[in-house]
Amino acid sequence: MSIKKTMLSSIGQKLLLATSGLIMFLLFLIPHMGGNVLFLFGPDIFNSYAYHLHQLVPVVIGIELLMLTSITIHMIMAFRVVLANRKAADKRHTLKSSKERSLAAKLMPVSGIMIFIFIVKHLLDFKFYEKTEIISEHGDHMYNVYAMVLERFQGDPVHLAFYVLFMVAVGFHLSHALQSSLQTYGIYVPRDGSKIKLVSAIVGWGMAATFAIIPIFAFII
Amino acid sequence: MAKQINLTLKVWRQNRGQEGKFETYEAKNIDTDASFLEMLDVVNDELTLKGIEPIAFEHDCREGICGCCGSTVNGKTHGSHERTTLCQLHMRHFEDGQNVVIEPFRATAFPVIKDLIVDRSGLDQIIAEGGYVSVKTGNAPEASTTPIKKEMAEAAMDAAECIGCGACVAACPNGSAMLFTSAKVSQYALLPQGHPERAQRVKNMVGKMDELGFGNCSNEYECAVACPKGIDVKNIARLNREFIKASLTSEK
Amino acid sequence: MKLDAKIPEGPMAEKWTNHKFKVKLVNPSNKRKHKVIIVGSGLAGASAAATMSELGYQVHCFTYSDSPRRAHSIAAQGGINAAKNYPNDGDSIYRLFYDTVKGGDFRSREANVHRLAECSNQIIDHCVAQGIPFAREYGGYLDNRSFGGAQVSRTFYARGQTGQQLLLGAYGALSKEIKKGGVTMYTREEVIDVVVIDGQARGIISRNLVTGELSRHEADAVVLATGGYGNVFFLSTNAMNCNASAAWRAYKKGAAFANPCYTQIHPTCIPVHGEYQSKLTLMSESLRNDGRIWVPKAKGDKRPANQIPEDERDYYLERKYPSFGNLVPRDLASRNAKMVCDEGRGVGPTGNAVYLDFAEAIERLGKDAIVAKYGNLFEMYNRITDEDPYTTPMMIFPAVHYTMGGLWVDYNLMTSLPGLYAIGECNFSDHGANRLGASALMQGLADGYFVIPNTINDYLASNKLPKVGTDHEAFAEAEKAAQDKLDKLLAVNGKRTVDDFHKELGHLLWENCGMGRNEKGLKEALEKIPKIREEFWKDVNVPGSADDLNQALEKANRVADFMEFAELMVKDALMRAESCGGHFREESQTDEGEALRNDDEFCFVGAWEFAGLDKEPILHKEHLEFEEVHLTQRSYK
Repeated sequence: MSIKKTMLSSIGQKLLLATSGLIMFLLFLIPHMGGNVLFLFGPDIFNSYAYHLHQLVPVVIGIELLMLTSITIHMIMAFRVVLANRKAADKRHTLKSSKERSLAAKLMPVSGIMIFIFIVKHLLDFKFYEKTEIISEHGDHMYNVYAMVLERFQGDPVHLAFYVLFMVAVGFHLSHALQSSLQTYGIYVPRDGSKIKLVSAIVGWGMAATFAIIPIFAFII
Repeated sequence: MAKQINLTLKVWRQNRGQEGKFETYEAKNIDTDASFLEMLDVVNDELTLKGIEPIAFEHDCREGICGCCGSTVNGKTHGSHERTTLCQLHMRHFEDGQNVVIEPFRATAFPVIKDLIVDRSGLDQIIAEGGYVSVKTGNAPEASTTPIKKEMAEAAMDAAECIGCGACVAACPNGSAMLFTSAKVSQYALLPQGHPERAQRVKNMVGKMDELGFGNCSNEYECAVACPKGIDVKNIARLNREFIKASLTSEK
Repeated sequence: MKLDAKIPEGPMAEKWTNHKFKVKLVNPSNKRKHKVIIVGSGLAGASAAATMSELGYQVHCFTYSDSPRRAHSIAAQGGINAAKNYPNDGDSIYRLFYDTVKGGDFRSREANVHRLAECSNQIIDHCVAQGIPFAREYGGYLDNRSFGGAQVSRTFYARGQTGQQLLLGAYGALSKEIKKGGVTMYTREEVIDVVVIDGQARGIISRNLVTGELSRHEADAVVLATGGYGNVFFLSTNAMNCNASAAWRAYKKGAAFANPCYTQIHPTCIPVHGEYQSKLTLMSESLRNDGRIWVPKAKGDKRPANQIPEDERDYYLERKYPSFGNLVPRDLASRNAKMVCDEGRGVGPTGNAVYLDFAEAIERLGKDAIVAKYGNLFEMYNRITDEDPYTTPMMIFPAVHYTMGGLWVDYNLMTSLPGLYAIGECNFSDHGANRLGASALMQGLADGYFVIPNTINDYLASNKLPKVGTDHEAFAEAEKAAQDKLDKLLAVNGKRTVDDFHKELGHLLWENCGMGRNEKGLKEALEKIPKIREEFWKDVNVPGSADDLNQALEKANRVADFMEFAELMVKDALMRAESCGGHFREESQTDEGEALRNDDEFCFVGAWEFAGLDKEPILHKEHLEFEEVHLTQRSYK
């Protein structure tokens, strides 16, 4: 079996899906969450974090390219897998799913698409948006990203609701994705009352909640 | 204690090369000690005498081992009683006056042949790709030459219990045959006899499964709930491992 | 017709080896020129197809199922015998041979049985190499258990699904050859006639069960591996589709049918519970290892089992047969169950059941041990009866299970019709008048893996088999006859269903030719069967058409054959005015009510030749010689 054939086999595609997802989770989502949380500690710390992040341009660009690759692979594989699955399970008039099938699992394609929409919106909101410059006490020229966040959310409940809603999608997506990827890698995730499933749900929802706190915090203060 | 109940059946009827539809029939005075297929026998006898062609459904051993029978009953494969094939599902689990919807096992890889009978030959084709040990008659060494750890033999037997009914495929939201394929791959991955052909087996069987249009596994475990023999998703994890190992190590 | 069993010369233990040396061989490059048809893909058919394909023959294998894996061999629960002597309890090939001849009540051919015992060990070797997950002990070595009719533990098993595992092994081997191109597999294709040209079996007519299309297949030899005829009784432990049609059509084309009256009634089945019942379910004989069979001492005792005190229970097998106890052979266990029920001591709502009690075993070994050994069987029992066998004793009753009779075959497993072979349950050869537990799997696999691949060459190498072509008139005639019969069935358009007739026939046979048979009852059955048959052809209702998937038509076609076959079975039972094995003639019993054989008059295989429609079949006797195991009245006391 050639590498291409292996990678485009049903299991190969799912391995690519899992791997690209895990890369985004480990190399992007976790650090991003860590950075975002600093927002809660006030403008100095948050702006300084953003400033120092920008000092690491080559790394940032590297990561950004990696993310771009990952998300492309992730989406292509997801489309291929979902389309093949739709085709393979057609014309079922009465089939009902059991308790075993979680809502999160059912919603994977929906939550995935939502996350993609969110990413586009999020990039437009923060990355490609004109930022004001300030000078820090050390004399560094830095962007006032803190103010930018405040500006985006304060007095705009619709915008806040959009963010929170889309974080719910993240929660759903991750809570299934994390444990599912382990099973795909061949690490047995048992059916009933599995600890792995529980941890996966806690991590997924915990991460979604942490991300959601920031806009809520920005809205309230 | 046995009693008699009446049911209203909505049954999928379809002829070869035509579109199908649901038809409604009454099942009268059904003994609750009868099996689901015996209930269908009673209905079929009535239909026959009324000049209506009886409902075609596949069945043979009627003791839960041949894997012939199976329909989706009220949205559940084999009627969804844990570890029970349709032939072993008894009417005591139904209420008097209940509506019962009966549909064939659906999957694109299982085209309907007639009424409730579907073509599951895809499963045979997957097995033909390597669901065996290539030993010719006469080749075998003395049986006790290789001791096999009891736990391994038991785990292999757990996987080998699959009856090939196809409920896993019909219950899978994606029409995937991963549970079926993984059961066979696992049996031979666990036993030393299976090791010489290990890499080739998993690649070929997965390749055939894909080629036949079975879907992808999304780890939702509906298959394991549906399986009348309790085949565990642990086998799917093992299949994935075997596949990764085979892809990383083997040449072809 | 002259029957020549072709038993090889020489001492018993050397016959098979000598024979393999003496038979003609087909050289490897010629093997691929021979086409062999195998009908049936159960243990015998699948193993034969795979092995012959490995040897290089072109094999065409037919099954009416959607897959070879569905064959009813799959339902065998308990195990497979072999003379490995792993437990060191004194077993040997000779003892397995001896036990099988004795268990068969001296009505089998010694040479065949000895060969079976010789092959038994190779079977286990081969099946282990195939990766069949037999039960193992903690040291990693193969485990054995005991079965009825033997005082050694020689039964290999894979939980309660030994037949399934062995069949899947054979199916795997078959799949391997299908993939390689050596076997052409026809599924959902029912063989409905054998084609004979110049006195040789040269092909078959088959019907595609999806399209209804009839087709002709030519071959150099035809092997029937079509199983038994137990479904003639309607209710049996056989699968619903099991039938005698291929064997019966072969009989009508010139193959003798041997010992049709030998049917095995299995002692441990779930009792009948209603009119709608379609089949009976077996509970493995292995349960008798730990379960104790009893009925109340008093007639008509309707108290629940747990309220009957120990001293009011009759453990009748342990009482009457102290050395074998609950592990007496199947015929004895069944007959005794019938006797106690006939005495009015049966239990359950119908009075046609006895208890199989695990209370003592659970106390001795603990519930966990019982779960490990029999869990799946207990689960199955619970699912069917809604009772918990861990707390209430199981109720069991005998049911038709296996047929020892079948097409007569010589030592090469060839029937009296040259070029037509019969293997597995569909031949008569190895079990005499009673089959011991765990021997059916052994015989099916011995025939398929080891015997026929070594004997069919003798025929292929020593006969000129010119190509005849499927446009030969014999094919055309056979096809037309088959089509006419189907059309005739569809044209009756009567008022009764096929099952209705089948039940009537089955009930008659069960009452008059079941566990106990007598002259009066058999004669009565002989009068009634033709009437039922006549009625069938006048009043059966087969809906649908012949060019479609039509299950009612399939069934009707098989039941029509049962209607004819039943008559031969009863005739044979009437002819055999002795009791032996599963055939108990009430006129022939000892003072204690045990079966009484009559070796002076009946020490022969009764092989019947078809003489034409409405003519009496001709009985041929193959006299049985017992050189090794001397004729004695069986005793398990």
